[in-house]
Amino acid sequence: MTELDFGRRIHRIGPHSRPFLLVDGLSARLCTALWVGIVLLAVFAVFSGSAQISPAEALSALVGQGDDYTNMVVLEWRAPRILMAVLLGACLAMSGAIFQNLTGNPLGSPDVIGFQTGSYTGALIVMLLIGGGSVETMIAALIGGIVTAFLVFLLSSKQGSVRGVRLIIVGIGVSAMLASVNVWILLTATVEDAIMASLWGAGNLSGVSWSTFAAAFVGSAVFIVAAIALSRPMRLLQIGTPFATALGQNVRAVQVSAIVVGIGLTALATATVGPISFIALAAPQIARRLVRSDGLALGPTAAVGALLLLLADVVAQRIHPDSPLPVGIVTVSIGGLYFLWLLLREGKKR
Amino acid sequence: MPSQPTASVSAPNTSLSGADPRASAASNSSRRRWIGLIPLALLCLAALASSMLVGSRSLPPADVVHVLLHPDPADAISQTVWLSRVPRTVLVLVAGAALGVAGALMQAVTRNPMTDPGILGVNAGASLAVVVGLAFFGMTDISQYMWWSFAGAMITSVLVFMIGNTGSARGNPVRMTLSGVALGAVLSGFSSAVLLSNSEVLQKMRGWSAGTTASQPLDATLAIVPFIVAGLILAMLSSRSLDLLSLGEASAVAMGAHPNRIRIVALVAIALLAGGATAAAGPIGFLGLLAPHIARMIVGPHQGWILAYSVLIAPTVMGFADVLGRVITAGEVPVGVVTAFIGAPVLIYMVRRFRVSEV
Amino acid sequence: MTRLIVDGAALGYSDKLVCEDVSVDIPDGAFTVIVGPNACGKSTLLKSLTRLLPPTRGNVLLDGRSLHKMPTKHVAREVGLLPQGPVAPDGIRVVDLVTRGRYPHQRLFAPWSPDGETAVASAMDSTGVRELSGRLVDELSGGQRQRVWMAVALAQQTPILLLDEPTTYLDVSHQIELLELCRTLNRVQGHTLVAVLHDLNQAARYADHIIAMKDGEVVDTGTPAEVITESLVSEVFGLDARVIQDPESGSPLVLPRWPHAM
Repeated sequence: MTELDFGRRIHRIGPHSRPFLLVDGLSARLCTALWVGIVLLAVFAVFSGSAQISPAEALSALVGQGDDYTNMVVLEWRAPRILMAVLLGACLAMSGAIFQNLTGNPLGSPDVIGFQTGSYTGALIVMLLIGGGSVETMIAALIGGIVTAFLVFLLSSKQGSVRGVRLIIVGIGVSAMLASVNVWILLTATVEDAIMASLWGAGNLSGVSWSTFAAAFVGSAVFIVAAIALSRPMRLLQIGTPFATALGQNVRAVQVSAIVVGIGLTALATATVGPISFIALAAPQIARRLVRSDGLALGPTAAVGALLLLLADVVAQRIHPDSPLPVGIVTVSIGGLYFLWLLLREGKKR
Repeated sequence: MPSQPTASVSAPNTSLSGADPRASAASNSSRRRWIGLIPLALLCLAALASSMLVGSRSLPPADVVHVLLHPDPADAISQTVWLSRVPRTVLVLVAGAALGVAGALMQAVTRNPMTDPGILGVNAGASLAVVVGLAFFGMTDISQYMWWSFAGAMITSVLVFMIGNTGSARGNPVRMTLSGVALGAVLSGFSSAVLLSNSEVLQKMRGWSAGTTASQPLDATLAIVPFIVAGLILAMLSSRSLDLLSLGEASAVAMGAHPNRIRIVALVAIALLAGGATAAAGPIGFLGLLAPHIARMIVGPHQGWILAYSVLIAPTVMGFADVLGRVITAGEVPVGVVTAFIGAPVLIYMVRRFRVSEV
Repeated sequence: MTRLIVDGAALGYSDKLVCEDVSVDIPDGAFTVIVGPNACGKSTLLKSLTRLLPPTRGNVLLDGRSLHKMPTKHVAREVGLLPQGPVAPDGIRVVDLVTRGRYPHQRLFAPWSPDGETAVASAMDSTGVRELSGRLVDELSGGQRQRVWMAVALAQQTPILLLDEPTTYLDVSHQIELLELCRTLNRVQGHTLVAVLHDLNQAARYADHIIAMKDGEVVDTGTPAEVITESLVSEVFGLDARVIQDPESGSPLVLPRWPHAM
């Protein structure tokens, strides 16, 4: 039997006589390149920054032999922040990929649909109305995000099925309502409080500690594993519900699980560092173009998302060394650039 | 062909008066549409009146009427009415009509029932332009920053239209709506960034950015009136062409219309209307979605009538929403928040009830 | 021998009942075609033979057991379906699309296997799309694309194959190509085929067994010669026609009357 022509380089994983997994060569090479990039960027971020620490001092801190100040900066501030950017970038990107696949629309992304707005509402209630600390804020944001998603899901399912279009429009409606609530809550606070709350609402990686990172890591690990397990069923679902059902898939279960995982990833990221937009929208599309993939390319997507968010954070910190920007503002610019590119591309298509 | 008396060839049953029953049916519905304007106008007047009469201070209606006819700068009641209620009511009328018609125009030009200047990010573009003008270019007066608002609205409309109506998104309303929403999110993000970095402007524009009738003195509102009127006139003039456009580009061209010319005129009108309304009242969403839909339910798919009815329906909704916002809690709920709470459920209801075709 | 039986089934969707009480046997190893006018319930009947549409009353039996109570993956290994108008994801290659048909045989931690590879290869060989293996599905012609979809259904390696209007959007030459492919699959590889076809004459040529439906009821079943008669064509399709013997294939040939009576 001659080997199948896949139209591109494919690696068979497993014992020679019984390979059990196929890996796309381009995807593997790209992921490797991306992760190398992420590591290099992380190294740069650890060794540089506004705290004026020389690379040698930073290195000594990393191996555990620095003075207290250097240790604090490198190990308590920079390191967890970098790792969090990588983790949440991957989470947001994967959530975006799942939703875009589910809604069948490249713009059907949780940040466009507005799932993050509910998280902001929860956070604002705690920050401005009740008055709570960062842990309470995170919990409220998590609850807010999940409740919003649940509401959107309920309102968009008719006779037990959720269609992509309805999910998108209902999401837009619900998030418009919540956005106006957020504006109102901000209005009732003093200007200083409103600015502080808005800084959270802009998406902010500053002040990330090891405990926060550990919590986020554990939480997201579950969802990430689930997302990986869902990628093959979701790829199958792309050929249509009747075909997928005939091929033996429980379509409803896959859709519900995908929604839960997608929401979980976004809610987790938003609760931890505030709403960060456009990673979920742009990363999956960028990954798809780089890998020339036909479906869910979770590995490359996660890598692109991690790189983008880390890059955005590095830029956010260094653009105005005296007053670092919230990372969310840099990612909004990514969104703007993405749109520009979309415009040019659509213009060429004419 | 057998010869037949000409009278009976065109219509099988002619009425006794000899008139074509189809024509009289048309004139019947046309007459009904004219008549329908009357209760609508009364409702609109009721909304405006309530805006005049209801507020944080309860004032007896007789006093309000007296003070309207005999303004007295020394009298506290007169001050309240003339400095607060009158500007707000005028703004409700002007901005409401502007947004309603802008929404109707957008729905006609994009052939997408799920649009309005808020959803498609046009209001966000106008507000960003205003915020930039205030923060970086030292604008202070509405007669200065309204130009920024017009420009912002125009550029955003063009962008959304280009993204949403070409290539893969052509004819797909969902894709266009999403493009607008995403673009709006980008522009709002930039707005927030500018405001966060400039607390002076933030403080000044806090109330405005929620969408409110309370932030402008009367002469500020009156400054945008000529532009709104210009926009309304442009809209009315394009109504017949928009009807043709709704039949599809090919059919419209076959009937002698120029689609691109129509669109440009409509976009200019949208820029004037949405830009003017946003400059005065801040970004207010959903009015442009609701009013044309209600109008369409009453008069059917006839653009001229939809525009005319929207001119009355939108201020009615906005007026009642504004009044609701004044009385519902101790503090005031900005009208933009109330319209979102009314409009979003309607949008959700619409998408549940009607089958939206997927591509 | 009949593995697949519909027994007194009531079939419908949430808003309406399409078939009240329908019973048919699907003969093994034969090429069965369901014909009838629009909205007669052909597709509904076909879908009830998979797990897509459970009957509200009555039963659909596979090997004597109720189809809809069996585990989905078991059914997916016995009955395959090519639905109407399937949509291929953007940018997918032929071989990847065909591989999706291996889903019921794929294991959680071992999605690929030599058997899978063989199945995909032979499915593509049978449908004649092996040379197109690495190409993008978007770039193919309508006829080629439909053959690729057949390969997807074949990769499932089911003894029974259901086809919902497989020829409807194709050029006539591609229609014949596809029907010849079906005939080969049936005669040479022994698949039991059930197809919904619009064209009565094509059905007459290729089918071993015909099920004629109207208004949700089965009007007649049997060989084409038995079923396709002038009276049935008139009753089911409301068409005044002459039925002669096809000079090429010997099967019934339906010729609408000319000049057509007003």
